[in-house]
Amino acid sequence: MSRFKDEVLQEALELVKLYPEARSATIPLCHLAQSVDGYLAPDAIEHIAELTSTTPAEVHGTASFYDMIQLHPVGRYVVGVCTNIACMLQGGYELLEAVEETMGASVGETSEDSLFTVEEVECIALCDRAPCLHVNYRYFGPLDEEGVKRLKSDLIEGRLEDEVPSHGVISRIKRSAPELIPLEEIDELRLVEDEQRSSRMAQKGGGDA
Amino acid sequence: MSKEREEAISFVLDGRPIWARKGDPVIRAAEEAGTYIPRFCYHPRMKAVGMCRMCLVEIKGPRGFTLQPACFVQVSPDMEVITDSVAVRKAQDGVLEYLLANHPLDCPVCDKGGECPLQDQTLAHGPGESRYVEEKRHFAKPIEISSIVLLDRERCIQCGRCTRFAGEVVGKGLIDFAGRGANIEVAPAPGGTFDNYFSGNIIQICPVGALTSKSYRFKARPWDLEQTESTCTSCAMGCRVVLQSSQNEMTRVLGIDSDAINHSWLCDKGRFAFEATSSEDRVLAPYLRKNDNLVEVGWFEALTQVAKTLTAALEKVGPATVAAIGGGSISNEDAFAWAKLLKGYLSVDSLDCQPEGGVDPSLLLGGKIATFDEVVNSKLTLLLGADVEEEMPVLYLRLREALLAQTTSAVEIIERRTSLSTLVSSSLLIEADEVLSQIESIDLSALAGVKVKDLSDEQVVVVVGQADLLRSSSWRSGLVAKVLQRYPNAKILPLLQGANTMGAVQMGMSPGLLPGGRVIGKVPEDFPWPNPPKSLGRNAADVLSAAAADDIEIIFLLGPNPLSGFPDKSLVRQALERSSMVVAIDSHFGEWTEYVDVVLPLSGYGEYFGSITNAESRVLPLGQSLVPAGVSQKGWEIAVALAESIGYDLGFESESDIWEEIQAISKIHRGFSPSLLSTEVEGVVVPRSVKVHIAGRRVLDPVATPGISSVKRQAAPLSEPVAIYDFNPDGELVDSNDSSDSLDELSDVMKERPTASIASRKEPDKLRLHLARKLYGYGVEVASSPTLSSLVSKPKLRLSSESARVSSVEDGDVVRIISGDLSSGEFQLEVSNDVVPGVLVAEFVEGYELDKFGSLNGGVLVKVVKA
Repeated sequence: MSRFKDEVLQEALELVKLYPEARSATIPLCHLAQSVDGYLAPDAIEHIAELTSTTPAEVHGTASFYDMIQLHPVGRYVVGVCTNIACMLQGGYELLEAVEETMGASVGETSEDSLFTVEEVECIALCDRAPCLHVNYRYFGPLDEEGVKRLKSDLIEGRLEDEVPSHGVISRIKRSAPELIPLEEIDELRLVEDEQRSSRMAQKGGGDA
Repeated sequence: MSKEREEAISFVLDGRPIWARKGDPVIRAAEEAGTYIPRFCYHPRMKAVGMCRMCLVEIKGPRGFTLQPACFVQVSPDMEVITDSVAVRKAQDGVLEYLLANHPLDCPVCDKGGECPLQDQTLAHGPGESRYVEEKRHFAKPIEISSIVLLDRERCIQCGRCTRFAGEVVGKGLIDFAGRGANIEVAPAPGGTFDNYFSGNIIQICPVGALTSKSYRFKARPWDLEQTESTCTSCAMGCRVVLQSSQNEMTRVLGIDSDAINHSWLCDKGRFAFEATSSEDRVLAPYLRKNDNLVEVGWFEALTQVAKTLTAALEKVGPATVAAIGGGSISNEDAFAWAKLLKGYLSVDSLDCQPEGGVDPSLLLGGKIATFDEVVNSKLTLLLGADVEEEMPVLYLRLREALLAQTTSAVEIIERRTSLSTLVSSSLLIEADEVLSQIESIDLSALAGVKVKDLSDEQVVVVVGQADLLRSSSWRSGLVAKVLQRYPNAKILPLLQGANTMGAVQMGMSPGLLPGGRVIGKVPEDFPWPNPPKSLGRNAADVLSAAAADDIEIIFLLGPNPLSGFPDKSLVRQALERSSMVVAIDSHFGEWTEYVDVVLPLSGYGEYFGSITNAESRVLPLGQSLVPAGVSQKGWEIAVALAESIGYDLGFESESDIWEEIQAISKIHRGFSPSLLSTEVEGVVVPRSVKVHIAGRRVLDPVATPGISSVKRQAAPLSEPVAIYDFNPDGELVDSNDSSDSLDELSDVMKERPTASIASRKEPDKLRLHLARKLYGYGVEVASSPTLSSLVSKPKLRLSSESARVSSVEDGDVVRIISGDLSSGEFQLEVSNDVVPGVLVAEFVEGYELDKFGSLNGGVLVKVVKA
């Protein structure tokens, strides 16, 4: 739906510059596109392909490998309910049912108000608080039907605004890369280290004998 | 490659010592030694990836024998490999069971059934029974991934041959794996397709029936197909192919892996051109115009009529009133017979096999012609006005590979960027009018990053293109001449238009020429032709102008629509209308049929055997897989019959008679005989004194090339190539170098040709038209093959931003081209700085009235206005 524009385009160009090969910026760029649209739009795929000197098919191929990159429009909140063993034993399926009913969307679908998309997910490593779910990768649990309703009203009424940004926004802290170390320096460093290691080995060997 | 070949190493394969080339993967070394290791993803022309795991063999390492993929491991000295053990068999069994878990067992209705590596290898190495009882995965099938390729995702075994072909070989990753795990599928981008010039190759290399051809789908079963080796005639590359036919109908064409030429790849034009042979507009019988209608007649009546009119005209006016255009698409045998009839008996010299202007024959005969291998291995390749992907697509693949591997470095000089522009060392956009004066001041070797002292002339190859169809051959020769001044021994590769233009020129089908590069007027006494021409004839453009001015009465059109690529259609129309008799020796009714008075049916592609000579002067065989349609005949048979009707005996009863005479009078073909073609799969470069780099013959992957040739060769032992060249007692190649004495005189004859005048540009909003040659722009194949005609797209116009401003048009505008009273249809304009300012680039696609502006003499000035 949208290509990168203005500041986002600047950010995209910066991301590309971070890597020795433009191609390496594919996934960060997918996230960037998602932070704008909430999902990875076909136009964005095309633009990413241009920026990384690849083709839309390759970007699509890469993006489709990752569950956290959505290729179709999703709601403002993507709710992923875990139904793996620990959660299942604690009532994961009941939780899923409650979520489907409360949010107004069944698994894989988006509610009519375009607020919620429901997913069934594998273990999200929150077994100590089973049954659990995540909303835009922010974890909640243990939850029952009441909890889900409360969660919904908290989300809608903005009480979780700071904690759960809309889908696609994954980090509000801008990362920067350290200065590149020239390859020669790395080689030199390695030589020194190798030498140290071999002298250490020689000493150790001598001690043993 | 030659270096690799020198370094032989030995390793142990199943207990016996084997010699192999250093750097070869185990799978190839074993295959050359006669041990076939099963595989799916490995393709000898692509990088190994080790994805399918079918080629697991036991290789001895520090921890004893372990299973390793034979495609991914290179042979090393004294390596021990076991290809047949309990562990290997168990691995193969397991891999196959795994691959078959989701593979539908619809072999009885699958196109691949019968030639399917998965089927064959399951029979040879598989479990026989499946333990998998669960539901297999399902996808909607088939889906269209390009205009000609269908994808059945259920059958896919994820070997990645197609996706790797797209990314690695073509350089456009238009398809890639999407999804993950059991849901993985090959997919184009959302809303995108796999449309490109090489899409058909993925059908051939798919090891299962996942990728099928729309036109071949459900048409035949592989075991019913008859195969004939042949050569593609859709361009002057001469790709080696195998024609497969069933019940006297060609069903498909597959590429043969030829080291010297096409590396098993074909372009889609070459792959689907065969459909034209069985198209409905084939000429099945002779036709004669009676009362303004073409009426079907017998051979006798047609030939008698032609002979009568011809004899009368010759008696009344003389040979200057007869002309022939074409010959670049008929076989060597045909070309020679027609040259003998017209030049040797009727004294007609106005015979031109390059109506489009083409490349000056003196360059083709006098210059040193480079082979494709030399192009991709030269130190400096100069691409002069060449758009290789449009002009010779498979050469583009090879050049692309070479440029990426840095076996050559190239400089491109053209008016617009091409698909090679990003790969060459330097891409110079210079206006064609200025390049002649500028080229001397350009430091070509510096642009290519080659040090002058490291560069000898012989390592320079000039690729002479015809990217702009409005450029004359004299412009091209002028440019090449300037380059040759600097590099006198540089070699030339002309991107000729006809499949056999080189052969036709060698047979004398050009004004002023006789076979073997002999020139008229300097014929030895013992020359076997009784009545060779006394004065220089006209080239095709002049013939048409003369005919339009009533100066020529009889025009022969030789071969499938020889005027197809001629950009000035109005001149053609006038010329054909005005001449009193037009005789078409053609396989198809086509655009000029209404102007033709006699049609003599010519056998089509795949209907006759013979030979052609490709752009690198390599003679290649044409195979016959069909009975000729109707009462059509070979070109040379028609020449013999016409000669008989006039009262001459050409003395030819078979192709070998023709070759006997060619060998006798053509120095170029001395020592060549067509029987060599049956043993030399790569064809024979003529003159044979030319030193040719002989690559070691590759053993082919039957999965890559299901042609008979590969089957014949797949188990060949590793051996030195057979020497067909002359060697002296020291084992050095003998360079007889006597083939060019008469060629020197050529340039004198050529000087008499009128040179093209170039229109000057005074008004700034006037643009010079550049008609860009397109692969699907014109030609009988494109017009008559259903698959190819569906690929023709509306031409686009391109203009630089500077010129767009002057002409007050913008990117995306719909515009018309205007010149004087002439106005074109409407086209979408793209403003792009990949074009030289002052030049309007229009893709030349027939049927869009661009030919209105065509004129061979110099640039055409036009304006663009908003529609």
